[in-house]
Amino acid sequence: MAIREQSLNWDYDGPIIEVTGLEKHFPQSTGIIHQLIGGETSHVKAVDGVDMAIESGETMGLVGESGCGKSTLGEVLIGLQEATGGSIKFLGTELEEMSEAQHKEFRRNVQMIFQDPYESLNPRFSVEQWIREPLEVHDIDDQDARIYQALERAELTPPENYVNEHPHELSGGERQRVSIARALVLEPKFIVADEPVSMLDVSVRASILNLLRDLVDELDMGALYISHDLSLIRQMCDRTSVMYLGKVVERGPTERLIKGPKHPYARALLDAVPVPNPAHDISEPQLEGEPPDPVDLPEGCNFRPRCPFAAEECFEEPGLDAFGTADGEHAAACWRVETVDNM
Amino acid sequence: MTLLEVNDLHVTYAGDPDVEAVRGVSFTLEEGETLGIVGESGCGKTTLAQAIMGALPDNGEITGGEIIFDGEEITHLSNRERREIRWEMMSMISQSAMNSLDPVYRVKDQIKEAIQEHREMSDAECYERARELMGLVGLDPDRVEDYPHQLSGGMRQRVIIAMSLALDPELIIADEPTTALDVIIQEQILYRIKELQRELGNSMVMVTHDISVVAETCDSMVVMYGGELMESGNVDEIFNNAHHPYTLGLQNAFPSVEGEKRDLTSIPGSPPDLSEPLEGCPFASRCPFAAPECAEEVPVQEPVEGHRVRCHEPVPFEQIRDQSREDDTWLSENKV
Repeated sequence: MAIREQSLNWDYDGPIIEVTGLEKHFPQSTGIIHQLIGGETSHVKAVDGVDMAIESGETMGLVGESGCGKSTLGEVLIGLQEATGGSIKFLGTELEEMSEAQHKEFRRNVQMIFQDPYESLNPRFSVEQWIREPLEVHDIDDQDARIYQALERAELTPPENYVNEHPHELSGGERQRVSIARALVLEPKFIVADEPVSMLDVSVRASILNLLRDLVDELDMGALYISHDLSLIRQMCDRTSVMYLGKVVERGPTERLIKGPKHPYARALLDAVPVPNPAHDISEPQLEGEPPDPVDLPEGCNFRPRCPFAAEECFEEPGLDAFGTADGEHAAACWRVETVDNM
Repeated sequence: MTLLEVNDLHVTYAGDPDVEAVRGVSFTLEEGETLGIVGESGCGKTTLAQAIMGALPDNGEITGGEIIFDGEEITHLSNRERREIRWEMMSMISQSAMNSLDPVYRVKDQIKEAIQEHREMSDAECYERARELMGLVGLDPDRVEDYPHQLSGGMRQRVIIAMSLALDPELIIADEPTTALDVIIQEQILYRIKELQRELGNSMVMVTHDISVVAETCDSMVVMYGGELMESGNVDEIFNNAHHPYTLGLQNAFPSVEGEKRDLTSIPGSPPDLSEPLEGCPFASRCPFAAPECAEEVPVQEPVEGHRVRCHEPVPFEQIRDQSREDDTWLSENKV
């Protein structure tokens, strides 16, 4: 089978992937007694009303603390988990309404690069077997040529030196390159990279980040780059979304967001990133404590109970349209941006 | 006054083959000071910390050199004597410690046990001390009644810090104390550790792969590679005036949210095999500036008093500093 079937609308000139009002709520298991007496099932709102669009050739950063829903959002976007509400469109076609052939094509065109190259590689597979597997699953022809090309794209050259290696014979950086080669062998249009360098040594991180950035560009893919570290996001991403308790609370061009964050949570997140400059001593943290349980969300703005700037109006929930710059590119779900900016 | 002095320390793990993980490291730590030991995986930084603490794994052994703590050489002490120093004089906060809390005991009983192992103290006094320690690390004292699973990762790490403070040690060794935590929790914990140090006046060794953590929390630093010390000195001096190609490589590989965005460099290749004896500089095989003399015994240079660099200086340091900023310099085909 050729790699590009034409069942999806490849002439579509809108975003590669576009979600609106996306929700992923997990039911909390409550005891049988609770259910018998007619108790309501509570939900963990891991993703709770997210709008996002990613264009070809664009890398969107997604940043937040663990438990904010960023990994779940990534998994829902590529169909590893099913959304419980809202819409996901790939090349303009609604995921729910795809035919079987279209859905298969979607699956082939979305791929994930995971955090831990050690865990994500089957220790008994050679590099070649590992990269061949997705080609087998999707019944693609010219497998050998594609495997070699994927290895070359991942800068594992010459490929013949790598095809027979096993994971334990490779360094951490090489293993992550193999994961990248496997994700790219199907020539996807959209990739999700979830903390792809956090397990790697500092001296090899840059080479993996540069590789990913070049590949997104060269293959004209869309990408979602998930991390809790804004300094890494800054190296990779054109635009960045900041997530807190299932919602995007700020979005903007990455450099503008880093130079001038608007949402109090984004300000705190940026302030917490240590910088390699000894003139900058560790400062008193802006935030105390940890995020609340996403089952029992506060009334109004989710961030209100931790926010140093919360006021009366914050009991009403702000959307991402609560604050926006004149050009519409930088937005924050906060009523208090101007007040805080002037403090 | 010098609290800790490490001289030409060697540590070897018995195995097939033996691995010499620390190969002749020397440094000193002054009272009240925080020293950062920084390097990448396999550089020997954790082994070094464990050797100082007397907490090496069973197959690990100090095979040379000395550790002088509070004026006393401690590598020759018996296990029992080491145990007495441990926790009483020095304590450790490790990377994995937050997962090492015993799940079936309440926090207060774990703290009590840590205290009673070394001191004659009644249960009631221990519980009182436990509540006091919880307050010190910024936790609600009532949470001493909790079991570990009732606490978040950040809270568990605070409990570990509380336990490390239980006996008022003079030295705290923190081995990647915040690596598994999010940036916001990391900042809270590091800030707390620094505040406590200011209040209690203890000294600290901070072992980390993260040079920005060293920049923000340490007074002096040691950069390790392949079991050896590459460069050491005052933190301001090393950040502003690094000489060693490896230190410069690390600094240029490190992203920052501060200042103008710049391209990051990477260091191709992998660390040396520590089961082999190594002549010369362990970084030579990855160093773009390496010259034939780098295979020979490496001299220690001291550009500024207290700033030590182990390098032959195959090309002038000024040139190393400029060229190491360019990613091209590090690509093997462009090696000078």
